Amino acid sequence: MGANLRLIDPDGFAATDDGFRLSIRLNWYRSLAISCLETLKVSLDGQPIAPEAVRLELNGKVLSLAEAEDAVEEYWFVQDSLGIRVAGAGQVKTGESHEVAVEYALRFPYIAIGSGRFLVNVSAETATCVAG
Amino acid sequence: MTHTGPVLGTTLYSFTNEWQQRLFTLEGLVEKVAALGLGPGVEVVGFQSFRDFPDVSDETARAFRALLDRCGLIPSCLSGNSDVGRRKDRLMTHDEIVAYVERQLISAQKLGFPVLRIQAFVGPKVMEALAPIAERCGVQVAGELHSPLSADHPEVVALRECYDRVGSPYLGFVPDFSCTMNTAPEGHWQTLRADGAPEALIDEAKAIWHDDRPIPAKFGALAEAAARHGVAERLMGRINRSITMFGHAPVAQWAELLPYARHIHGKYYQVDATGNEPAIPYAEIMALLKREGYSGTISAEWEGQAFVEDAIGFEQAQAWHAMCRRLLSA
Repeated sequence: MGANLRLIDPDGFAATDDGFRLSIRLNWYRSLAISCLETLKVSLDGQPIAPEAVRLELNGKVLSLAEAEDAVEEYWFVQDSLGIRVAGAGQVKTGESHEVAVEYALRFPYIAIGSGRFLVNVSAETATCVAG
Repeated sequence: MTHTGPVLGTTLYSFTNEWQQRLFTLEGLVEKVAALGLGPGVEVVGFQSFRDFPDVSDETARAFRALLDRCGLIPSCLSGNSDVGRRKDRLMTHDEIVAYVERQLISAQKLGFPVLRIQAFVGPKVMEALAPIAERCGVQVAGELHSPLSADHPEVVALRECYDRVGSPYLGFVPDFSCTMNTAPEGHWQTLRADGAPEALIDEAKAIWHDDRPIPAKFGALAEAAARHGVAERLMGRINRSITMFGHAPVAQWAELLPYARHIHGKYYQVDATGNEPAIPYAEIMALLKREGYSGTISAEWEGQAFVEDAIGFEQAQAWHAMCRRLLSA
């Protein structure tokens, strides 16, 4: 991602009752089922977040990473952001500035690169955001 | 009957940068295609443009048909996808693939598209099973011949044999100019360089691109070279695209494919200041289409967004149309 195309929505970072929330954009030209999300790594101020603390918000649904792996009919639309909720109260307060890093790998399920293997693309961005 | 030649048009995929950066709505893109004379054909990637794909609602379909009518444009091809790897633990079964494509054929019918593009790797058994469904929907289903495929690739040969045996006009191909490139576009190597690939690896990748070994061996050779140069795993996706995106089959192969062509992807990366695309032999391909009397649709399919984030899709589409009109009138 470069200057025109950001991964982390600058306005999507916010403190929540039980932690914080981010929203990220799809780095591909077409919608993909969320089951194609191979990995998602989030860190806050350089500290990695445990995967169990992460929930995804997509199409009005809330999914754990394990649930997302089976969600073959839940599509992440190109012009919609994916919400990421992180549990852990007190890490982020409204008005605070934090360094947020996101890295995700997407499997392109229609671009085969050998028997039963598909192209996997990794996107990453680090941004300093003020919590809304 | 006078020969009319190919019907030009544009795929909205050309405006991927504008779309991803949320600068346009679907309505805005289509209106601008009409205003700039980039029709009459309009192609849409279902999973790019419709939030409710692969099962578009009646309301989505009605609005889209009304939009094209109002703009004086015609639907050429709906690009669908066979997402056979959507599950991490296993591939889709035969029946699952057929059912997945059937949903997209029904959406194509609702939206008014005469052709649904899918990936050719689904193979002859799936295609044969789709023929009666395609016929029922009144929508042709066509496997895309995209790099790294070519007319003499065993998978393509098997499909042609299937099409000949089944004999249905509802089966066919969508050839893509990525199969017959002169070279990988310079923008591809520049992007790899900017991502930190060492020059020696880029030289090796170029040599692998130009040599004649089979495609799976090319992926292996690239992986071996990348490992030897200590390149990070995150770069492998982009390095592998050297093979998935840019083929170098001879243009002459197109002649034998045209009877099966239901639509064509006029792939390009950059029409330069001289009005030409240096990576793809457009003059040769257009001369062949004219000579063979191809009168189907062909979309401007700009893929420069693989290297460029600027919202220049419309100026590139205008340049493509000018180039093709010039070559077709030559």
